Amino acid sequence: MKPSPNSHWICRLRRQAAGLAFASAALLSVAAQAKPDFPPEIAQHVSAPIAPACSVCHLDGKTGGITVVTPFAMALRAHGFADSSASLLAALDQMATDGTDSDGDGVSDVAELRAGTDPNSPVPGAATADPTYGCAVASPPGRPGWTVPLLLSALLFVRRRARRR
Amino acid sequence: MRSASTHCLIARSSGNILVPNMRSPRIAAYFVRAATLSLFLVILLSSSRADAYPWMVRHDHPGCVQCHMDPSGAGLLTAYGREEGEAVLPMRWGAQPSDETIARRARFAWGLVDTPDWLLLGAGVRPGLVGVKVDSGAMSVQTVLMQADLRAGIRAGGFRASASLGVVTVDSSPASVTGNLVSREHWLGYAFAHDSVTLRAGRLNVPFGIRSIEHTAWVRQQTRTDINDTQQDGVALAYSSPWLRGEAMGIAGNYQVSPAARRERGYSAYVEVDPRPWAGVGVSSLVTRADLDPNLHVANTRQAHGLFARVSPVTPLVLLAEFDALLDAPTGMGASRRWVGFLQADVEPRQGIHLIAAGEGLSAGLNTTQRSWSGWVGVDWFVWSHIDLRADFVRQALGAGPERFQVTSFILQGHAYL
Repeated sequence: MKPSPNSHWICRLRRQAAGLAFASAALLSVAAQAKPDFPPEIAQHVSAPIAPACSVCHLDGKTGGITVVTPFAMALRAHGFADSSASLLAALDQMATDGTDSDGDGVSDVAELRAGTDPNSPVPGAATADPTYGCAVASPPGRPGWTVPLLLSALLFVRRRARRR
Repeated sequence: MRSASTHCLIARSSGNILVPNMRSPRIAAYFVRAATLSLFLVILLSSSRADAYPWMVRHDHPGCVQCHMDPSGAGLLTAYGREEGEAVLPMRWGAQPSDETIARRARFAWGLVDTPDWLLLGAGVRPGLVGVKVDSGAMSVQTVLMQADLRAGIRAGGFRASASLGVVTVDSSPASVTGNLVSREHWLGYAFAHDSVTLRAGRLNVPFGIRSIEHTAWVRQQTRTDINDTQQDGVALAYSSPWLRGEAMGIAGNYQVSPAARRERGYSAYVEVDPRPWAGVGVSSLVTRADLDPNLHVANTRQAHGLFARVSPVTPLVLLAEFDALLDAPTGMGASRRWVGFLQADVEPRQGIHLIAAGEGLSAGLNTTQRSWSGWVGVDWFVWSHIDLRADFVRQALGAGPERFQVTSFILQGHAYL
């Protein structure tokens, strides 16, 4: 059947609409939920020399709401932490009173925070530290990345071959 | 070869359910706006995921390479995988659609976009609502964008290339390119002997155990082999035949994590034997070493060795099981031996409706003297083509030091993919 005169226009509109809807859904749903104030508040409250790393509460140091799942974070929640500063500090006080030891190494969580060690790691003296995420090889500082150009080159190469056929 | 023309399929066929007779561009515009709004709401208010479904063994598909660009499964779908998925995944509303309709809906963006045969495109968005309650603490409820990825792949002769790019809610991720922009995988490869053997290099899913969308399952978290963000850079060789498949990967580390001391290097591999199209059993092995273990923050050699199985004794039921032994040898502490187990039943009483029940166990050791247990039930409803909704209710007893926490959580998610 022959397409109607409006077919191209409708197709184009539909494509744009679908793309727009998809992109909107993706972008509008993004809501960073990290609490950058918490580490210094914890350090100040327990008199720690340094602010604990994000990975003390966030799985692999991935800051965001549903990554607050480390044993220490679970202990905080069990002691009343409810995503607010007031509940955080109250939970820390309660954990200090209870002598909570989330990694079972014999040193309480609050004592580990004061010593700058990770309350989730049973290894004695394991310091808290966050990794840095990003394209270490693809884009080292001051140098262009290679991954995207490589893939684009491959795409152009294959397309060129396909056209020749 | 490019199919027919640049006209979209919908314009070519009359009586299409997506496009009623449109008398003018203005009416068409209203229709598209309404459809766009509907799609937007569906995506925003629902969500889920469409990646690796090991229960496809129910449909006598023990292998992965026929349907996925990744020979061990997950991620970008081949043209055949798209059509097969469209045929067996979504709920049927009314009469069985024709093969032509299935073929059209299966294509990228429901066939709205025509792509050349050598180019594979995909996209997925998975927003969700997660609630967590620990012991008698308050329930914490948060929205999360689990996935919003664009994927592209090339299949030209034996040449293979694939890459994904997306955004996530978390501000940082082991898959991060920068900030919350993530690339879970990007690789180049070559397939020999009709895809029986595939050699790949780049950032790859780590071949180990049951490859599944359940990236929070303990067998995936403890072995760090999920398809969410624990991919590694390296070289992998995969083999696939109707009764045997496997992949071995030399792990060079995750080059999206710094400092270098945090990169785990070693190997990971699995082999699965499929004596019947509806049953498979396999073994996995992984050994890596990092100068700064991501969890222990000291040098650690990590091992995981295990068994897994996928069985569909009757068509509506699929059982997935995995058991892994874990061994950590961190500096400054004695070696720790643990185990982790997973058993899941997936029942599909009617096409498109999956009733899920699962149980998990994790032994004491490393940082707890308590065993951990988890049980969950869920429903995954493949509402329509390319869209599914899922709800899960989870109860866990989590060991932490000498204590054990009772964790109750729920997850509501929607998933739409193009």
